[in-house]
Amino acid sequence: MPASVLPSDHSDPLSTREVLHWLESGRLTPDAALRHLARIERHAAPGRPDAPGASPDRIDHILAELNNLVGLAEVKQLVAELRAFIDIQSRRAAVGLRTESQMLHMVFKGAPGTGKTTVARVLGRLLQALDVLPKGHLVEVERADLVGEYIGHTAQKTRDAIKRALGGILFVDEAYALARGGDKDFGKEAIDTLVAALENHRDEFILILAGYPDEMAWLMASNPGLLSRFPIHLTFPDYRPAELVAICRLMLEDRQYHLDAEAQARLTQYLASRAGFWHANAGNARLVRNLLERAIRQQAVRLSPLPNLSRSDLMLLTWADFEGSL
Amino acid sequence: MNALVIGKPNAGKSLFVLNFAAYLGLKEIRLEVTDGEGGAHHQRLPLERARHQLVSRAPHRTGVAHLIAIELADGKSRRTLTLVDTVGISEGIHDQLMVRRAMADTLDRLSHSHLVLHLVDACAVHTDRVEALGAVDDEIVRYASPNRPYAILANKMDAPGSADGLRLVRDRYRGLPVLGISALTRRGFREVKSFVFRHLA
Repeated sequence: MPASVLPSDHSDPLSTREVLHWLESGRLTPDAALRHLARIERHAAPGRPDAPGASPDRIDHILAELNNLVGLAEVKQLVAELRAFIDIQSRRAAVGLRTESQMLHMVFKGAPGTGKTTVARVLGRLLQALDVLPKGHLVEVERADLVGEYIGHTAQKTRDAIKRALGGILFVDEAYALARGGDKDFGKEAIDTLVAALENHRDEFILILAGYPDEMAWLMASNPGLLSRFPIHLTFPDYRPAELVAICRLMLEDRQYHLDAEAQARLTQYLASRAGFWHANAGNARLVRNLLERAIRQQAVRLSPLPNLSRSDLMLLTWADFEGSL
Repeated sequence: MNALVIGKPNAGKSLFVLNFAAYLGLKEIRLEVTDGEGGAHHQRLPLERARHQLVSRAPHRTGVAHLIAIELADGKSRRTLTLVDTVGISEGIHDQLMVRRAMADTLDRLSHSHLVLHLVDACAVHTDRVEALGAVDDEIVRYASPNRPYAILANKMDAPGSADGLRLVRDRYRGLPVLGISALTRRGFREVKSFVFRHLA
C-alpha cells in the first residue's frame, strides 16, 4: 500500500535530476515532486519557447554531431549552405514561388581515414531530417559489388545496388577503380549504368563517389558525362597532428579511457614528430584508432594479472601501453 | 512529436493508447520498451494481443513506459506521432522501488513531452477509490497546462456515474479543455484526434 509519508528533509531539491532521484528513493511524494519540477523549470527558463517541433530538434542534433567531428571545415561549410538552401526552397514553396531541385550528387576526395564514410552517413540522416531524402540510409559499395563476371551481369548488379539505395545515399568507395581496367573492362558498364540511373531516378537517391584525390580526378576525366553531373566536390584533407590528438581524445572519451600525463605528452609529441612521415595515404584517423586499440589491448595484458583493480585503474592508459606498439 | 499520456494508476491509459492508436489507423503495435536501465528493444504485436497483454483492471499493470509510433499522412508531409503510455502516478510514497523508479521516469518524460493528455477516471471522481481526483492530478494540471498543449481526458464515460464525474472535473479545472471519452467504446476519440492534430508541430 502506498504510505503517506511527508519528506522529513527541509531543504529543497535543486535540479530536475535531484527531484527525480528523490522521488525514486522515496523522499518525495509524486505531487511534491511535480511542484518542485514546476518551480525549477520556472526559474531555469523564464522565456522558454513553446514546445519545439521534433524535426528542427533532430536537425540541430545531427548538425551538432557533425560539428563534433574534428577538422573538416569545408564539409561543415557545405552542410551549412545545403541546409540554408533547402530551408529557403521550402519557404519559397510555402509562398508559391518556383523552387529549384538542385542535384546533390557529390565527389568526396581524400585519403582513407579522413572521414568520408562518416560524413556520408551523417549527411544521409541530415537530408532525411530535412525531407530531401525519404529514408536517408547509406548503401556502401565498392567495385566488386557493382562489376559482374560476364556480359550483362554488371548492369544488373549495379541496378540492384541502386535499387537498394533509393531513398538514401549510394556511396561508391574507391570509385576510380571502376575506370581502371581500360575499355574492355566491365567497370565502364557500371559507370554507364550509374550515369543512366542519375537521370532515370532523379531526386530519388544521391550518389557519392569517393576515393583518393588524384585517382578521382582521373576518373572524372575518363568520362565526360561524369564531371557535369557532380556539382559538389569535397576535399577531405589529411589531418594535422593537432587534429589527430583531438581525435585521439574523442575516441578515448568515447571508449571511457583516459591518458596519464606522461602518455598524453609523449603521444602528442609522437604524432607531431611523425607529421609527413607517413606515406601520403597511410591512414590518418584510422591509424590513431589502431594505435589506441593496440594500447587498450596492452593495458589489458598489463592489468589482468593484478588482483585488485579500481575503476580508475581500468580507465587509465599509461605510456607503457603505447610504447611497445609504436 | 511526443504525446504523453499521464494519469493515476488504473485511469485507463494503456487501453486508451492502444485503442486510440488503432483509431488513427495502426494495425500492429511496434512497441519500443525501455527498461529501467535505459536499454530499449522492439516488440511487434497485433493490436488484439497487445490489448490482452498490456491492459488489466489491476492498477500498475504498466511497469515501464511504452512508446507507440504512428505515421500520420497529413496532406503531403508525413509526420510521426509518438504516443507515450506511462506508469500511473499514485498518491503518497509508493513502497516499491520499481514503481517509484517508474514514476520518476514518467515525470522525466513529462518534462520533455510536447503534448500532454491527462487521463482521469470520470466515474471515480467523487469516490474514495485510488482513482479519485487528488493532489497528484492537481499538480499535473499545474505543472503541464501552462507551457504546452494540454487536455484532460475524462475517461470511462461509458460507466455509470460518469456524467456527474465529468461535471465535477469541469468544475475543478475550469478554463482547461476537458474531453469526455471512453477508451473502451472509443467515444470522444474524434475530439481527441482533432485536438492532437491541431497541435502537431
